[in-house]
Amino acid sequence: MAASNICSRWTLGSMLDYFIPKEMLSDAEQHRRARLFMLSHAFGPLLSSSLPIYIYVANIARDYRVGIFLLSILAFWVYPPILRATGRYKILAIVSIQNVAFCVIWACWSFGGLLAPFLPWILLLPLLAFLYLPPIGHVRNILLLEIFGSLAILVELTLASDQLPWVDLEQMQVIGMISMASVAIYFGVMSLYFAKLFREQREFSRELNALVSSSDNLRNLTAAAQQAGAAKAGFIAGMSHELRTPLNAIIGYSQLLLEEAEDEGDEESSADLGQIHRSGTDLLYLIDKILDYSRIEAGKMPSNPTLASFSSVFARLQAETLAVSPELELRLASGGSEDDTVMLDWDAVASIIRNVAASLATKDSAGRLEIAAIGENGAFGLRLAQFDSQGDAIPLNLDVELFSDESDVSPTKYGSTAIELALAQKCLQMLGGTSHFATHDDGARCTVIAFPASSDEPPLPLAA
Amino acid sequence: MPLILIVEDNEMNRDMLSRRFQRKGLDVVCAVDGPSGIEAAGEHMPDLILMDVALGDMDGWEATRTIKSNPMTAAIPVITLTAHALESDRKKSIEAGCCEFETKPVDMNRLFEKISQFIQI
Repeated sequence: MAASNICSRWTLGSMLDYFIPKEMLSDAEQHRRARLFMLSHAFGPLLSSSLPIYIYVANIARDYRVGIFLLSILAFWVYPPILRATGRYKILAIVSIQNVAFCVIWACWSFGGLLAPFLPWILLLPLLAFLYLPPIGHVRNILLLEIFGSLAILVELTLASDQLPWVDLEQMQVIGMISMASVAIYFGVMSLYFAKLFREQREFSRELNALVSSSDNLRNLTAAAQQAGAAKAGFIAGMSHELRTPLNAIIGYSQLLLEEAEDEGDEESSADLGQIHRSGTDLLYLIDKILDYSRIEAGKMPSNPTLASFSSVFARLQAETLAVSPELELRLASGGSEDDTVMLDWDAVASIIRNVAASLATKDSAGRLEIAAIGENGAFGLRLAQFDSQGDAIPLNLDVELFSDESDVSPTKYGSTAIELALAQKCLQMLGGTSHFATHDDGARCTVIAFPASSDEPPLPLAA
Repeated sequence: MPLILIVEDNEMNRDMLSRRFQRKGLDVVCAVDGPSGIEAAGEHMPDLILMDVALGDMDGWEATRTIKSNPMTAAIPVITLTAHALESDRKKSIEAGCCEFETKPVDMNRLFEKISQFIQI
């Protein structure tokens, strides 16, 4: 397994890329050229060094000419580390082509002049120039100068034939075949590799085009979703007003008539009007919750972070709860951070607690909700534990989604509904907070709510 | 008999509140928006003002600030009525100079308790 991992890590491509500068890796075209440069410098010397080695082994020549020929070929292995160390690709590519020109001129001059079997290698110069370098005006001029200069030197050296070292051309027949085979293999390998890279690049371009097309589609869909969201928010705002106004009137007038009926001692009317009043109040409560939920979902609930401590917010919540559900006790437990001043949308925090308390009140009117403000190392949150009238702990699961098939939450079951918990969860999501079950030091199960320090950070983990 | 000024743009709410207060033996005058509320406050010098927040161009907070900035009407207690029990709404009301804050739909018993802190009913 380890061996296969190493193999998968050390591919030919990754080994070649090791020497390529990072800025070239990020550009597909430059990366392709650098890969060819590296491939040529890695395997070219292996192939072409067979020529001086054969000359030496076949005893055609065993002097400085063979040594210089071999060294000028092996010099190509120095280029990759220099490239990695300096990152000067273009200069190295030009020098490398000049290095090839030197090898060819030296081999031809040393072993037969224009009749030498190494002459076809001169064709490598334009090929390498095409593969290594971009078609930029001044670079192209330098290379043309280099190629024609090399040819001129070779012709000049050959024409001055009295300066050519002596060589037995009959002995060069075998090496001529090796040379031709080497140059053919070199051309073939380079062409195949170029074709492979070209194909990969074309695939990449096709995928890129597909991604651009998908991205356009996503942009259109996002715009449509935003438009739908804005329409939904507009509908909710309008509907909120349209529903609440007549309901307020129903509730207000029914209460007025109820009081009049009570004053007149009309018990039958009082009972009927009481039903209308209670139903109106229940309906308004439910509509308010659903509208709040929808408003948060549409991202239209205003956020108003302020600096305050939990203890100051709790005092008001406690008074509210006492007024609405006298049998339900809201208790501030010691958490150590109740007087810490924290920047939070306290309206949303109050809404979470108000809804948790309301959900408890619908289950058991004589329950108790204990809340502690906790914090450590810059994290801030709340620890919530709820108990029924017998003092038994009630699990508090805030992971509730309204309108979900997996949830038994139904907004129509007012009176024993869990819509309050769904709304508490929505408020928590709006604040970017998280909740989880935990066990307090005293062994009691509780729910820990953690708030983020800022809107673009996740909340820090908090222990109970 | 104590006089209450109701500044409320919704006709049904005005009617409902007026009748409820009158049943409690209070005198009532009404205004339909911020500017007419400010004018009515100066003209009638009520014992208490019940100010709706959502009133149109001039909201209830701005009308309250104007009333409080006039030495003649500055001492009149103002209770605001808002649609949501938001901490931010409560703060804005206090900052504008209101002495109490009540949410809609109005719970009359709770409202009477709050009113009784300022006037005899």
